[in-house]
Amino acid sequence: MSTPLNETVVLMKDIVKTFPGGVVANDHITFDLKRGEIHGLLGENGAGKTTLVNILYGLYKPDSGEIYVKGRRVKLNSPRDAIKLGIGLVPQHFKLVEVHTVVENIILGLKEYGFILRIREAEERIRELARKYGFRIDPKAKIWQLSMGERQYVEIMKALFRNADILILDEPTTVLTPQETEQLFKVLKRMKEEGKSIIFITHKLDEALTICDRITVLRKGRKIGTVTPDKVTKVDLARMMVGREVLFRISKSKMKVKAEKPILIVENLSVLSDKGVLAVKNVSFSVYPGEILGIAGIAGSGQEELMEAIAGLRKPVKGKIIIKGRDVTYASPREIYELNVAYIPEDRIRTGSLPNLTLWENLILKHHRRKPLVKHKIILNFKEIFKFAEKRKREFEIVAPNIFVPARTLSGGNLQRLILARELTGKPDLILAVYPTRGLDVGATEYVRKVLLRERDRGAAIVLVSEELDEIFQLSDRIAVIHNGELMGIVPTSQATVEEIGLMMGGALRR
Amino acid sequence: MLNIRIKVERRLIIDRRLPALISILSAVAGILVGGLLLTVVGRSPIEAYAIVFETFTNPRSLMGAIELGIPIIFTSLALVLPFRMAFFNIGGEGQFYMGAIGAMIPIVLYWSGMDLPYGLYLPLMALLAALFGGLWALVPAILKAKWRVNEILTSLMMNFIALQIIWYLVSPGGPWNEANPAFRERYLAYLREQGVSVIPGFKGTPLVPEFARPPVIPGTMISSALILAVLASIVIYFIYSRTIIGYEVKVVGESEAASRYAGINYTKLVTMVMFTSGVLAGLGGFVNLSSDLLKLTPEIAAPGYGYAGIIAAWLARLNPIACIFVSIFFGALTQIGYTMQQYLRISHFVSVAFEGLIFLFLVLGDFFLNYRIKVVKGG
Amino acid sequence: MVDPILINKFLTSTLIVGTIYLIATLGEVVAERSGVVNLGLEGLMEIGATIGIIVALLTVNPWIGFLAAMGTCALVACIHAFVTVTLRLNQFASGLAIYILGLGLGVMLREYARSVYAPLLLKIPEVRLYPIGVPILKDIPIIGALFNVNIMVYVGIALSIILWFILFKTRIGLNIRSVGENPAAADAAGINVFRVRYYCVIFGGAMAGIAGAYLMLGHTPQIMGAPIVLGRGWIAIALVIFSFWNPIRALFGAFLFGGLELAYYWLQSIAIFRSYVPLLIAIPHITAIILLTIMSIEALRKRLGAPAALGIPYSRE
Repeated sequence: MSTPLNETVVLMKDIVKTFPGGVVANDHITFDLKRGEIHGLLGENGAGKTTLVNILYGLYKPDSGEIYVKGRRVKLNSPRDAIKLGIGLVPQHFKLVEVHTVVENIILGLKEYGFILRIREAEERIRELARKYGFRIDPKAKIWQLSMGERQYVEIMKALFRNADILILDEPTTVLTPQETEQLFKVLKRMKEEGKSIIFITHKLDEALTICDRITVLRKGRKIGTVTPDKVTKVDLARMMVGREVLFRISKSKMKVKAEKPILIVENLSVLSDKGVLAVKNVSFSVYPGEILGIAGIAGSGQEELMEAIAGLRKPVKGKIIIKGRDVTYASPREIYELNVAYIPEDRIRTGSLPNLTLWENLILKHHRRKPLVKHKIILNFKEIFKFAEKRKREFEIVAPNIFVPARTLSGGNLQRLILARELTGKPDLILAVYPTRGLDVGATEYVRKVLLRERDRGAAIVLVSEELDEIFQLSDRIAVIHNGELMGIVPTSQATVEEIGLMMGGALRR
Repeated sequence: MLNIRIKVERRLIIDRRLPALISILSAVAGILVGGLLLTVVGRSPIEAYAIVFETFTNPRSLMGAIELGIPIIFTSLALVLPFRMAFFNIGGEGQFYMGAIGAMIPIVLYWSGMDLPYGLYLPLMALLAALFGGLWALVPAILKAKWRVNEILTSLMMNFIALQIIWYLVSPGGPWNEANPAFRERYLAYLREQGVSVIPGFKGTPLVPEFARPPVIPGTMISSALILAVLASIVIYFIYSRTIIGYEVKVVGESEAASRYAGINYTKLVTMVMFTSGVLAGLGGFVNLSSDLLKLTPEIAAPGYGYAGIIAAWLARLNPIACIFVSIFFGALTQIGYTMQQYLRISHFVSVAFEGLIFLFLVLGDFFLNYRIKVVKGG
Repeated sequence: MVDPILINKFLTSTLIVGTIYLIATLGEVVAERSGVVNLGLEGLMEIGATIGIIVALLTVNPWIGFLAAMGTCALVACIHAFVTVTLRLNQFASGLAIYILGLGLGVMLREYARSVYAPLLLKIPEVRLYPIGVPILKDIPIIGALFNVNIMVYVGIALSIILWFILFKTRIGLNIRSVGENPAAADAAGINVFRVRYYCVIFGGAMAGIAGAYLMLGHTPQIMGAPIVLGRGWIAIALVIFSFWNPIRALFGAFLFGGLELAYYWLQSIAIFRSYVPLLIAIPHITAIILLTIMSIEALRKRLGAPAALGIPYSRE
């Protein structure tokens, strides 16, 4: 408590960080944090926010620049150095050992609890802290049994246990319902009142305006400026963040008259997770041609398992899946995509693409058994394959020198274009899209959304899983809300409100 | 002040020639360091290098190297497809033994008095060798596909089991031991023709008769099995680069998640690939038995052809055509081992140590595939 | 019906042989808990056996032999640690290379030693380990076996209990397990992932060295110019899986395989088995495959598994 209020606790001066391959993630960024403030770090995906805080946490070393913490110039070689200075990081992708207990995760790396660990003592302190901030956590629970929101509290406690008075939260609200977000904001305000300083990373304008005392906007590795919320509007911030005017609405045509027969019917479906617990519980819905059914829910509520079950990648334990009138409950992935079903997976890099293989090898995946790409049943017909790949590349405007470069050289947006190009080959009747815009910049996001709407207007039935309520509201014709594996209800978008959907996501409302 | 810093950078684009260069350098480094290691056992590295030089320059010993390399062509070729799909078949050795057992069946029947047209023996031996090797290789494949049992361990355990089966068959009192009374009449007559009047009855089967040995390529001492080996590598090359199977192997090797998502049937693919792999290793056993060993004995394990195949395949960067040349190089190494045993009076296991060193350098060399080291001036 | 003395004899030799597996397995459990597989165990044991017996004979002291074997194999394991942890290269390939290198070097050196130090061979009775044989206690049926073994058996049993305690009850153990499950989490908590992995791999190597030396000094004291570990190192790797990476469970697995290895010896006295002895020798390998399969089915069903980061190199960027 040596620094008085309003004193600068962190100063990062002219930070430069270049990644192999020449991507400049931080280009001479200067950033300061005052004691007792919440300082927002706003920017699109890839703007350099996470890189900047990872440097402050000692995970990355900057190429150049200076860092001052509490008035002293410091060199951070590892998180250990940062922790000693009272810096705590709650990363976007939690760094928790899933098979260990809450207490084991929290005391990891601490010396206070002895060589022979005094677990009970640590548990007591966790309960005490949890009471103070209003978290509800069983210290003996295994991490994998916790919801995403609870895991975030474990991460925050980890920082508090290390006596952090400078707390960095990286996109903390993506895994929370609107109500949980409010709860978190209360906790953050309370910490601020105690004199802690907080760096709050987000790409959501409303949140930045609500919770932050100051906001620094980054774009493509550069600092655009620092503003206070009372002096700017949402539109100003958006322009700073993206660098051009942003439309908050994509025009969506009215849905055509509902067809009689659904393309996809899911009946009383139950599916297990990798851990062997029920991830999807007795879910039923149907999707009609020419509509987008949005599935809203915080990540990890069972929507991934649900989609995998429909795609044939996970065998259900109960229930029925019917596509175009055929029972495909236990069908293989191949049988399902041969019914003209497209699947845009959550994991673009490992599941959706083959990073070290060339573009053409990526583009023919799933189509590689079809004529004319194959002759005499098993021999690859390269002339046709290259023609096919070139055409896809052109149509979906994939930016790459040629079709012989490996897929890993593509940017995130281009990789998603590649997946779309492959999946939308052959005008699918049903499209399963899982977090299709996650991690993409605004331009790429817009492109993906437009393509989905185009496919809907063409008459495809689309199931869209997303954690961004904006996206769900923008694209969906109906919204299904999933909470803890259960379907809380399906609401037509025209009759839905954000508050209501939020309550359903939190399990507090059923319709 | 001059400030020089060494910086390690990740490579984004890999030069196509780099892997070959690293392979060659690892081989050279392995031999150089291996030679130095000989000082530990009191031998001069210079003498060792002289033997290495001699082996690679003398046409006669080069031919011997090719002859010893032929089985390794088969055992390395056998690994191209499984390794490409990230199925680590370490069981080439056992599949090789099983191939030799299979190839021995017609011979055993012949000595027990059953006759077939002479021209049928070689094809029948090859066929049985292929079948035995292939079936043996299916065990780890099916266990992995059905229950995700670690294939490295199962395929390796299968090697020990296969070798024990040979011990059982050929030990004194075993059903295939040359002293088995069932062979007596015919085999003793044959031996007498060769000027031997008793059957010794050590651990080993009766000999493979002349008509069941592959002919030598005219003008050389090399078995015509080399032609079979070259044909096999062309077939594997074709399968890998021109067919759906090769494409699917590539996809599975790159990402199992993606292959599932693309509807590739792992069980079917791994069964097919491992059967092929076992067939090739089994053929290696047939070739070794019929043109080199000439009788089935536990000695078949001594050169470790299956293990050499693993390193050879790695050194060849899983390229079927390169496998031919690398295997001949390994044949030369085996030859060098035996020469050193003879002249330097050290165990022929010296060639295994050389192989291990080459492998280690090769693994180390892969660092330079992904990274480059740069000397940077200034802070 | 069965002679209790025979039973005791069988149990005694089971404990003595099982300890070879136990020590090697315990080392690998620790290495794998930190996320690094070392497939080179068999080769390391081959080197440990050679160094162990040569040094023991030269110094006429088995314990210096053990220490030398331990140190040598720890050094060789350093190579594996460097390749896999620092350079982040393929663990399987590196392990296989160590296996083949160790096999070649171990056998070659042993052959050399046999030719150079032939007179030393007479000293073998002075350096081999003998059963302690506590009077009276050793004659109690069944339990007596525990009092008629060499000291390394007790060391092995004690080590498995100590290692269990360290892994599950202490700070170091928590660090090791976390590094093996999620190195990024451990790193963020201020743990030096690289150092932990280095120590664990080197510890595993040292244990393999002891196991190899013990194979020679405690079980088959002889110098042959042929491989001697004969797949025990590979079975030890399988034992790590059977034990679900738990040192106490490793204890049972190791002694089970000690017994299985001797099965042929006891079965050959029964007439119907007599002509199948070579096949009986493969009993441990066949059992290993069967047990691996059962374990894998169990693991799939109960969703138990290896440390999550096993085999995966860690890097921050």
